[in-house]
Amino acid sequence: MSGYLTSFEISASGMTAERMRLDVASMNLANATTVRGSGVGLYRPLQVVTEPASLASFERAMAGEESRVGVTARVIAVDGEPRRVHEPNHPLADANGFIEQPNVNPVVEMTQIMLAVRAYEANVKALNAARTMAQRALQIGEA
Amino acid sequence: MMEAIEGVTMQLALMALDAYALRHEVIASNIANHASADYSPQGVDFESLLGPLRAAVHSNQSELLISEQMSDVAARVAVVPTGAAEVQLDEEMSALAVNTLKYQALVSALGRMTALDRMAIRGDIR
Repeated sequence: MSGYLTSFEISASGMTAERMRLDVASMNLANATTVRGSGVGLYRPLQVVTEPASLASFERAMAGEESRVGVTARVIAVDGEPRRVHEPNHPLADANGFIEQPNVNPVVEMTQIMLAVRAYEANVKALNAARTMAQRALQIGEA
Repeated sequence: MMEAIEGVTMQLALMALDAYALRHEVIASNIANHASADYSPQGVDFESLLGPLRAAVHSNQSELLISEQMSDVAARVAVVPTGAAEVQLDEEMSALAVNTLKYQALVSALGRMTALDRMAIRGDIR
């Protein structure tokens, strides 16, 4: 039987995932205008992929047979066509006066940040609800 | 046998508490996985199982029989897909609020029930 702490674990894993989403969006935005440096390749935009910690056996996880519950998040780098910007005076411009910048869309990143914050809040709410329930359970038998 | 002595009401309340706790875990998991690909939201089937139990109570079955039926219901509480394609955060949040409220209401009810026992044990009525 899964203990009452499972709920906390699930919500905590969700919060970790959303925090990672926020970190990645910040990283992408910070690197939105970096160019291909000497020796350093062009920044590849990152993306967070989440998947259930135990999709196939959710019920078994609930029964305590599997230890991992909640969500797992990993970061992948996305290969995209770099944005070519005409900046002839740039020290790293090529023969035609173009520099290459990573394919980061600031609008998409900003929406990702907003979504991550909202989802983080939802996880916090679930965590608080679990705490409330546990606290109330402690009151069973009190008047 | 113990269940029959403890009373079916207590047994039902404890079963419902377990079901709500499980449902909370499922909702938390839905929220945590709201953006996961290939994840379909899950739910807990509990209230729908109570129909036969209600019928048994209404037809004045013996307490032992009702208790057995209750154990049967407890064994059938399961995590099932809700059928929705993807997680709707607002739906999950309201389900969470409802579930927490039900849990709290049940705990309060249990408190009242045990208050009667306590009064009997202490033997005082204030």
